[in-house]
Amino acid sequence: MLPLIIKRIAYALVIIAGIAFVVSAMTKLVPGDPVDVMAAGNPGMTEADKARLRTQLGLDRPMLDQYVSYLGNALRGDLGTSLRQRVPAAQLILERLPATAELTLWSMVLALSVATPIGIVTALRRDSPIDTAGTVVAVVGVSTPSFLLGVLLILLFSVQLGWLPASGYKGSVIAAIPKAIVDGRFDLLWQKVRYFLLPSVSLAFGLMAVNARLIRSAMIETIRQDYVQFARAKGVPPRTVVLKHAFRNAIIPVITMVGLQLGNLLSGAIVAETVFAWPGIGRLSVQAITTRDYPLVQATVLITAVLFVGMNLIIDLLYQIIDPRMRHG
Amino acid sequence: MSTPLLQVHDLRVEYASPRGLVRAVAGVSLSLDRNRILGLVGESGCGKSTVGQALLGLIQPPGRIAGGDIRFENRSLVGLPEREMRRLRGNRLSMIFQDPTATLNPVMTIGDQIAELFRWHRPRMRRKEVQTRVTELLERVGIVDADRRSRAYPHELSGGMRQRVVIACALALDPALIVADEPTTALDVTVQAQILDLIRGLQAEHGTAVILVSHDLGVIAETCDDVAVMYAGRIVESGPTAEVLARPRHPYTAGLIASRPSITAPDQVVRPIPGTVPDLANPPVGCPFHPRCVRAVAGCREGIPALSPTREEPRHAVACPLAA
Ligand SMILES: Nc1ncnc2c1ncn2[C@@H]1O[C@H](COP(=O)(O)OP(=O)(O)O)[C@@H](O)[C@H]1O
Ligand code: SF4
Ligand SMILES: [Mg+2]
Repeated sequence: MLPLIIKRIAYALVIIAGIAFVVSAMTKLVPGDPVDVMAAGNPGMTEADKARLRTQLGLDRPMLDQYVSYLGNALRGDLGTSLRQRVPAAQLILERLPATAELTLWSMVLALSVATPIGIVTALRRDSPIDTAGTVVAVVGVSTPSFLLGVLLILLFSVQLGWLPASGYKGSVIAAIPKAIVDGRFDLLWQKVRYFLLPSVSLAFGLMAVNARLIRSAMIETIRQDYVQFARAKGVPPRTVVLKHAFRNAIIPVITMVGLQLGNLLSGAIVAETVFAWPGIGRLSVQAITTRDYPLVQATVLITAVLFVGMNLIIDLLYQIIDPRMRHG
Repeated sequence: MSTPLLQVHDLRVEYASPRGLVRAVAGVSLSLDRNRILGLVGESGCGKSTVGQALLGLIQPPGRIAGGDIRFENRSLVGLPEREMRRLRGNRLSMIFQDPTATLNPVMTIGDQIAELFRWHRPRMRRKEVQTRVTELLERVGIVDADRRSRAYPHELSGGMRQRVVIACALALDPALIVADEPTTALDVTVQAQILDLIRGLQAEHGTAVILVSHDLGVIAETCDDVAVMYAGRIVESGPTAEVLARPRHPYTAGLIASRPSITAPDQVVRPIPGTVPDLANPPVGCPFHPRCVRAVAGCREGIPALSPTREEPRHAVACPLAA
């Protein structure tokens, strides 16, 4: 099993090196002179400023040369300096990452904890009213844009009912859990959870619908398999047949999709983060792009790509654990 | 004479399908004693597997048992609550499936899949003892290095080895009846013989009753004490294997024998039965075999012939008035 892990990691590193190349070349690849573009939005810029900026962006150096120094800096944790905020881009990203990561986590937990029972039940009760209802919910869920759902949720729960905040972030829920348990300060925990509820529900809804469908079709496929019938023929009780024999096999194809979804969410749920004023990677990317903050754009692209590749790596390795057929070598 | 281990009376199984009601088993009666092997033979789609599944109470919607009775160890299995049926499955009656590459769960070790039988049917048995039994069983079905192999996953074993594991599962709790549904069909010819030998050997050792489902008369001839020939959801001929194969009465049985390539006389012409098995959602009226029968007469379209004993050998029964 070990050599395979090493192979996967090496593979991931090669991909990241490739992404870093594209990112480092980005300033050269965009049409026009990025410095002119930036200057256009910033009339106070002198020629001297522009020249300094060109050097900072590496526009005066050959591509390969620039790549090597970019990579070298990146490995030391230096992803350049934000032009607008004049702080290291890495620092900005690091500040924003926990909010995005935690929103990702809770959205997926929510989506899967609803999608799993729905997927299983609709598969077992195929073509029953429950299944039909599940199909309707899934179609609605898949076709509702998360921003629309987000706005509707805000209108209902914040504006109309006044139960939950419309936007913002008051810190990590995970970090607040130990204190809640040790000191019984569940009120403090709730203060944080409140801010998570609407954004994570609006993100989870579509994922829930997609994953419920995925789990349903995977379960239908699996339940027909001989080994599930054989488990029944051995006198294994139905619950165990479904969960241990069918479900464990059915989730194998679902994991790939969940991995991709996690990668997507981690790179910043741009729309949801904007609607809910969530201080995450998604909003940071939008700010970087709209302010033409090239180093920051480069840094966010690199980091989100690394997160995506890292997520896929984790999924790959998870496969080795769940599916013994994947363990070679 | 004691009561037989298994008595099936007028069993009917139907599947609801878009084409209409499929009468997969349309009144099957049979009886089986301990320590006997009964062959169930017939072309594909004649309802053999459905009979086997009905015996274990495995018929699920859109299928249902529409009538008849199954008496096994002096209790009726039809209408038995699912919980009770579950206690019997794998325990008093067990099943060997056709395709060993599909029968075992790919994400569980083979040891765990055997151990599962003890876990559910012998909950008091200690883990350590279960492990010992699993190893013993694997050895008994001819798997060497059983202790290590019990930790293998199915994909690490060959088809023949996997079928041995399936047989170990079927044997684990020393059931009274094993239904083996085409246990060798998916295997290489050489492995087929080994698996049949194994089933026969273990059967004799334990005095287990076996129903061997097969579409291959050769397999039946080598293995079974008795044979029941199924056609379109019915038994059309039954009796001691040697007698039935030597003196087939039903034109269908004769057709099956004639259509089998012979190893001893390879030059002999193989004559397949013309036509195909009828659609069981819409079977022919009268004798279901009449569209394909060389001996059919006008009367064959009226009424379904009943299975009745022949004059010479009462144990030999046939469902064709022209052949009795
Ligand atoms: N789950 C099912 N749903 C609908 N029809 C079925 C099902 N299983 C079997 N059948 C039908 O029942 C008939 C008998 O099938 P089967 O018992 O598998 O025959 P055999 O084992 O002799 O090949 C066939 O016509 C088949 O199409
Ligand atoms: S009853 Fe008629 S059709 Fe049926 S097997 Fe006998 S001869 Fe053939
Ligand atoms: Mg069959």
